[in-house]
Amino acid sequence: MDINELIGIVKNIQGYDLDSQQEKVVKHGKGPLWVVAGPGSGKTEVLVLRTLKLVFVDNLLPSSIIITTFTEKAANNLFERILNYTNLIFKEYPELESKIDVHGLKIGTLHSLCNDIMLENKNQAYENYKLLDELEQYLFIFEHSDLANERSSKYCPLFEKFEYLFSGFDPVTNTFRWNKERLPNKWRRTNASIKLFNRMVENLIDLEKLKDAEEPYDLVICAYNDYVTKLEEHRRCDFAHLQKKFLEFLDTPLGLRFLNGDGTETHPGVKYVLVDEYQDTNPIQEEIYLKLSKGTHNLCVVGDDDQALYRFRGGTVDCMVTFKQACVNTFGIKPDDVTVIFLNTNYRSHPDIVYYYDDYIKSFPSMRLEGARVEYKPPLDPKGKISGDYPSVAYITGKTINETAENFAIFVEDLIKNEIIEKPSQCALLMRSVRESARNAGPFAEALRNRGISVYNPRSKNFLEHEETAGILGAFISIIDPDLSALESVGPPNIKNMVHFWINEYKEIADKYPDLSNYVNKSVESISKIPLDNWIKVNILDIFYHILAHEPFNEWRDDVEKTYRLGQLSKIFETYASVPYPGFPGSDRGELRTGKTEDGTISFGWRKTFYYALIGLLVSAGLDDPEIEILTPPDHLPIMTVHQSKGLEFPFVFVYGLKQKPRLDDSILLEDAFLNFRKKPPLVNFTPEERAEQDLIRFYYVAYSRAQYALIHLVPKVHLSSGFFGFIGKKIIDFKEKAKELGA
Amino acid sequence: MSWRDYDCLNIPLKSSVQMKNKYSITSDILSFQLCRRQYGFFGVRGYQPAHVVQYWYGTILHQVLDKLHMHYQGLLDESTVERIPTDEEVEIYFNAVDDSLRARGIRAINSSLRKTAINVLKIFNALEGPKLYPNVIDTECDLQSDQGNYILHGVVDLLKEISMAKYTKDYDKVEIWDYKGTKFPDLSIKYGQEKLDRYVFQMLVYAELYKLKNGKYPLKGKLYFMNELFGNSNANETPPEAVYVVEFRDRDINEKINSALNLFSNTVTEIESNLKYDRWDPPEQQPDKETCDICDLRWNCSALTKKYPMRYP
Ligand code: SF4
Repeated sequence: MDINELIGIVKNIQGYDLDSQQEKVVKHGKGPLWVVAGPGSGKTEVLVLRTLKLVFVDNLLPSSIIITTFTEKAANNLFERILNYTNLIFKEYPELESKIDVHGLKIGTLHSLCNDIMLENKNQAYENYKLLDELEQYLFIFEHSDLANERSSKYCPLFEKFEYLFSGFDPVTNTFRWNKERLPNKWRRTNASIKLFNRMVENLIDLEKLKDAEEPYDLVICAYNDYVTKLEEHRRCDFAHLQKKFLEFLDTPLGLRFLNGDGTETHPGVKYVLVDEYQDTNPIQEEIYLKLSKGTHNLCVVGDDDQALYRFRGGTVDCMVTFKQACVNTFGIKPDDVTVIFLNTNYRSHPDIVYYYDDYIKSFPSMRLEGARVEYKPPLDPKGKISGDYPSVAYITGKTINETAENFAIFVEDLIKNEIIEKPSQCALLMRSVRESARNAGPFAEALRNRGISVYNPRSKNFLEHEETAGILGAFISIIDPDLSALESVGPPNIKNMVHFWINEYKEIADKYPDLSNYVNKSVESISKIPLDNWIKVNILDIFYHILAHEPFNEWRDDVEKTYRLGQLSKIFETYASVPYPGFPGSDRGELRTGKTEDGTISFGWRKTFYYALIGLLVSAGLDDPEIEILTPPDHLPIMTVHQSKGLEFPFVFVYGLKQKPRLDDSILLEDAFLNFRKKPPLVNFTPEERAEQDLIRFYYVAYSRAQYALIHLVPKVHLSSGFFGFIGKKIIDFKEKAKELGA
Repeated sequence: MSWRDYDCLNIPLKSSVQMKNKYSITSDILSFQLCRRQYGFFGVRGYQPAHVVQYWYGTILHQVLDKLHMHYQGLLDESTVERIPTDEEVEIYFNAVDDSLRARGIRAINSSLRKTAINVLKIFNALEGPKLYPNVIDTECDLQSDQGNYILHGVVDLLKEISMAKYTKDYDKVEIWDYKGTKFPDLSIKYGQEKLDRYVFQMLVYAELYKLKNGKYPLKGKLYFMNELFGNSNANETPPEAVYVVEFRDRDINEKINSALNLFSNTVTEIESNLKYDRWDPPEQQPDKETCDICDLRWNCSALTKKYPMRYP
């Protein structure tokens, strides 16, 4: 098939032509390709078509093509689209059907591909490792890592150097500061260790360079090495090390066979690499991509530096901004050998919205610094179907946040009543924190609900405060620690309060359900008869399922929402059981034992650790995953974080929380602390303050560019003043000039 | 009223595109057929089972067998190319895999199970290795096919070339293998026959997926019941109960494969209608005892004819 035939087929299906820039991306031949794609520019479609071109026009074996995206959902979506086109192509060219199998394409997140490829190629250094998710990594570090557990003042210089990781409010103990007499507590040290270790791997820190550095970097190495040794000892691997192992794998014979192929169809080698959302790539991922395409130079990256959001994951927008230079340095080619294509036509938003966010991002001097954005970036060019003379950029205000929320709810209600939109799900409310507290999502959610508009805010209520989760935890604890003697020995009041809340919840339920309380009482009795230092027949998940078999849990487990949370809770139990005891690889703490000294009770140490490690983590809200994928039910209005809204679009977008100033958060400071120790020195340099400011501006840019028909700011009167970053150029005059106030 | 500013608009609701689901032949379709409620809880709703039953045994068999093939191909160490592993080497591979599984907390339930596994692997290696290893085309082959509204996915344990086969115009000279970590089903009971039928359906569908990828059907499918080897140290022939051959060169092959595919499609339709409302009622008829014995929902399940007594710690 030739390329024009392919493009013709696409046109037939879609009913419209590719624009000239899009077409260039699809047609591009060999060599590095740098696609800078603005919001709503059809980049996913272009990626799909480029893949089809490689398969159907260039006749490459699908299994020799790697395509990565940021989430599994995006990967599925991409593959789905490829499959749809493929089936339509087969209808016109049936002879191809037995020759081409697009299922061979390697599509996924980089993490999942690293994992699959190493397993498929039987990389010995990765065989039978247990991949730790975030919760598992937390529990593992909490119990095993020296940095979290050392009781002497050994690590004090490190605590001092990375003060921002070890101080600040701690939700478990309600404390702020540490000193030599009272070292940072274990929860804080665990959280800090995670950030430190992940960052070191993700930013490709050269341990040799660290060795030569002054104090306390020697302690950093010491703590890190300890962690890695323990991971290996227990055959665990976290997500950062997964990538490190993959990078090392590429240098082994099996890795080279994967990379270069051996002439067979089973091992065709890697011929093309395509990367989506490249702006959120971190240095180790950049290194992987460059290595995967070192032999071919066929690396195509697609992204938008202005939409980078993931510094806290180690992402540095620099990889996107300096792609050309990185290719020149790694491949030994000339700058002109890197093809740059700008997809700057916007098909998503009303032209005035497009001009608004384009102006917005350019209105800040810090975004005009060299290296802040991709150079020579053209302005966005709106060519979408949406037009019309109405206030597409506007704001709703009120004297207070509550009044603003009220006006917003009235407005949404009117939109629906007057058939401007059909369903609430055509709107979205974006904000920084979606907790339903008085200063965040609370007033907005309430105002909507008062008007009978359902809200979808999956992160609103702590997952452990629902009756079913609290009840089952209360019942479980009533069995393993019936007199709460272990709980009494636990220091932090927040852990105690949480547990008491669960117990009360359980008691209320038990009053109404005698079978349940009967089971719990009999279990306690049964344990009390077991002699000292003996294994107990059932493990913690067994107990969980026995409780679940009783009413009201039995009924709740078939309730769509409740069962989801109960299932999650079983996962948490399973995870906790799977964390081995320090020094005993393969041990299973899901198995219970009676105590050595006290008759008829579960080992005191076990109970105490359960409270400290697991409940401590739950209380510190380590479960708040910003990445929860949203599938809004049609009759609900979603309230979501800007991160959750990534890649989505809505007819009406409301944004609250314009009154913000940049914060030097720990991800920025950490990046800075290790800047000089990277294996490859970074190609752009900004101060932490500049980075913080740029990040905040990009954050709003992502929010604003989600809007199709209308972008509406929610700003209480008290927030309407200059100096805040949600306003164009931080200037309230400019903001008021561009955004129309909507009267009540 | 501010909404009037937008009165010129009338924005239709975009129908959300339904994504195709991918179904695995073993972990979705066969599991659902076994018990829909168990499948719904552990396969869909994300409940974690209390014990990873049987996982160790199946995993170690598959992983060691794979090592043995790699040994023969010289992939682990070039010097072993085209050499059948010795008993000692089988044991070394076994221990390496066992160690790594143990470090992850996956252990043999008891030492006799461990002995069974080594014994079975050694016998397999000595008995089948010389004929099998030189003819292995590929192991753990991923096969998929788009069935219109869903994607069917399966992993074939092994593809073996049968060079001696007679001229076969419409078939590849290939055998597809599937290792089962069990004995041959007991056909004297109804459930045993059903089990075997399911395995045969599985092979028929593999054959179809193979054809979609390679253009032709393979000649045969072989179900290998590893546990039939146990204790047969002196055997110089494969015990007859250890293998069950499914011939694909068959006049009615298309019909047979179609009926297998139809059955699978019906199962997918059922899964999807359950998915839609997230409803996973107990099956009308209780599945075999083996299935319920290891099910964490057994403490209160209306499908059971005889209740399991509640256990206390
Ligand atoms: S106990 Fe048996 S019937 Fe009930 S859900 Fe479990 S496997 Fe199915």
